[in-house]
Amino acid sequence: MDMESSAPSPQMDAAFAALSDPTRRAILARLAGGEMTVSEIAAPFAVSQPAISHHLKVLEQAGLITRRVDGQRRPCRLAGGTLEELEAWLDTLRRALTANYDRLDAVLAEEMAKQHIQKD
Amino acid sequence: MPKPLTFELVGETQLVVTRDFDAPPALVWRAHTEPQFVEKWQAGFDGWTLEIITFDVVPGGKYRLDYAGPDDGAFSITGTFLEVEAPRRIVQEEIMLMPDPTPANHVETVFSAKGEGTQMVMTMTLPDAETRKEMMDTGMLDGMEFSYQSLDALELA
Repeated sequence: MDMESSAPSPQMDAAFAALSDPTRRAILARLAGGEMTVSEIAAPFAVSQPAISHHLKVLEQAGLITRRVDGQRRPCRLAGGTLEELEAWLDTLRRALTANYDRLDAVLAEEMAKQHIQKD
Repeated sequence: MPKPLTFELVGETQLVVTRDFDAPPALVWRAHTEPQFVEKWQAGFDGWTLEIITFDVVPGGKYRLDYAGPDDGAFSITGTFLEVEAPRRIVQEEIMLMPDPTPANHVETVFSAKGEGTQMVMTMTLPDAETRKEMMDTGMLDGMEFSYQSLDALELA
């Protein structure tokens, strides 16, 4: 964490921290299909429902999901902004790097071929 | 066949990118540190051109890459090499000019021998949220739809 030069970024930092856990990423993937209750979300996971509830709390605090009150239930859904921003930024970076390194492969292959010819 | 790129979030502020290459570390090193090589593969997406203005790969040395693209698009990537240990490790601090400067992004790149080839591990400390928000506010990122222009503009963010 940069404590000096730049402004703190609690929302985005919290979002990255929340996304660093594979169970939480899997929960988000499930919620991509639409709103679900806690028990619906927990169904495919080996972990307990309280553990899932804890993950949901982390995701909610990070602004990645929202919950509403529906009688006894508190169904969850993906939040719009933060997750889309993060995904968009990461997806862009990943695609750009992929393109660059695929191009680098060709450059390296060409150079290795040249060196091979020089050796012969 | 292109090799897979792994892309992992580590902790709260870092991104780790891993990529293998068939070429040995000495050649991968040259491709990252000799400007005539860099120009060939960091040129971005179709329709964009890269001009390397400065590229001084020594500790404290500066670099500047100017990109130009469709619709008068332009941006620059500038930075300082902090540590240079041929042929295995580069540490640099990077600032993009959009044209306003982004906060410095710290990038460590390590090359190690893997079989006859090379494994690259690049650890980036993410720009702060404010920068990312500014990029998004300028309309460069609009939902999940991207133009090649925005892809390219964020190339080495």
